[in-house]
Amino acid sequence: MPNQPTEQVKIERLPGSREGVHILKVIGPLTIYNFFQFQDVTRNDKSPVLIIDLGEVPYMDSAALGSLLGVHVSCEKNSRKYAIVNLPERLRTMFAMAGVKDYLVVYPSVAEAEAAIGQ
Amino acid sequence: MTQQILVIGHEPVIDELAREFGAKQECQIEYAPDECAAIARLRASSYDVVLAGPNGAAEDRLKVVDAAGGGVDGARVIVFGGGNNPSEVVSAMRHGAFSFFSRPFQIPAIREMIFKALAAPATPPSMGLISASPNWLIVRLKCDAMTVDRLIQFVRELKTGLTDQLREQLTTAFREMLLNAAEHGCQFDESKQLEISFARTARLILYQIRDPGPGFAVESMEHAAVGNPVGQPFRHVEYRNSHGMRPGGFGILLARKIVDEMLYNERGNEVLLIKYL
Repeated sequence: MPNQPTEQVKIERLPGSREGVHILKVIGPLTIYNFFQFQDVTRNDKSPVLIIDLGEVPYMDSAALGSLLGVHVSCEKNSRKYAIVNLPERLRTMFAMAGVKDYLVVYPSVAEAEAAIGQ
Repeated sequence: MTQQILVIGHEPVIDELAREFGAKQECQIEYAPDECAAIARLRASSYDVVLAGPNGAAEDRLKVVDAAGGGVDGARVIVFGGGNNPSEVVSAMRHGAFSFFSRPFQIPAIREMIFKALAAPATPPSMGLISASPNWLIVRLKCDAMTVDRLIQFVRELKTGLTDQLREQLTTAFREMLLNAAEHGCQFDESKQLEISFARTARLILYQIRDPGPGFAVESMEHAAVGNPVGQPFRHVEYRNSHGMRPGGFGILLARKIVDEMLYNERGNEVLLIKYL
């Protein structure tokens, strides 16, 4: 993939309300040109519970969706839990079109995800 | 070296982005009240990027593009159109504008394009216009990622009169298929060319994308989501992981869901996307 000048996606690491819960807040478009940052951060995160906040991701493409599915597959294999929260409508539509909406773990908010999987 | 951005007129979204690039990217921002003043500045000084705001006349914005273009110190001009006007989009392409945006202005997409414009050479590769009618565009372009991204934005602006959702979805379908052609058909080799047509009639929108690659058979693609068996949406992810491929593989599936018809030629290096209106 060629290097492309692009806005670097910002990924903030926030502590969860309980030990073992990590929250990644992703800010900015997630695309073929910058998803490697996201992939590196999620691959290096070994917390038992990972919550990915996509509320400030205005759009993503096929490559970025693939990296999100990588999180799903990796968590399933390693018996870790994850959740995607604050999913914008545009991404929700994309997940539905890609046929993955019902397979990914999605909650409306961080609090609801923590309540459901954060113990 | 500090990069220079010239902003023409005052438009809240553009002013906000200019301030952002001034603060975060340490660009030097200058303002011209109108196109005449901007042309005078372009003759006197060197700028990297011009943001030609939407408040003047369309033909004056094109004069700015002409004044900025060419030469060692050419500036990349991003044109902001006042209304949805495909003729202005095509004219901007013909005059060599770097990109074009019309209202409603979307900050993330504009920000992304400013990043590209700042990094682009003074004379970016031409769009390779073969036919530049607002309803029928044919281009033959160099297969580099930046030119591909610029074309996607120009074509996005030609799709007027659609709901925002449909416009974005069609842009997604076109982008995914064009990037597939650039990546798999050309390996992003700048010596290779892609040929793209966009046609708009009263009843349909059509895209045609042709790459010079060997093509492929859609039905034998284990690395793409479109080849997954029903109920196994992650199978291609495992395949891609085990073959060292980057994440992805949803492009064809997404495009198929968005358009009404998708046809490949026999060789598999040319695709038609058709959306009925």
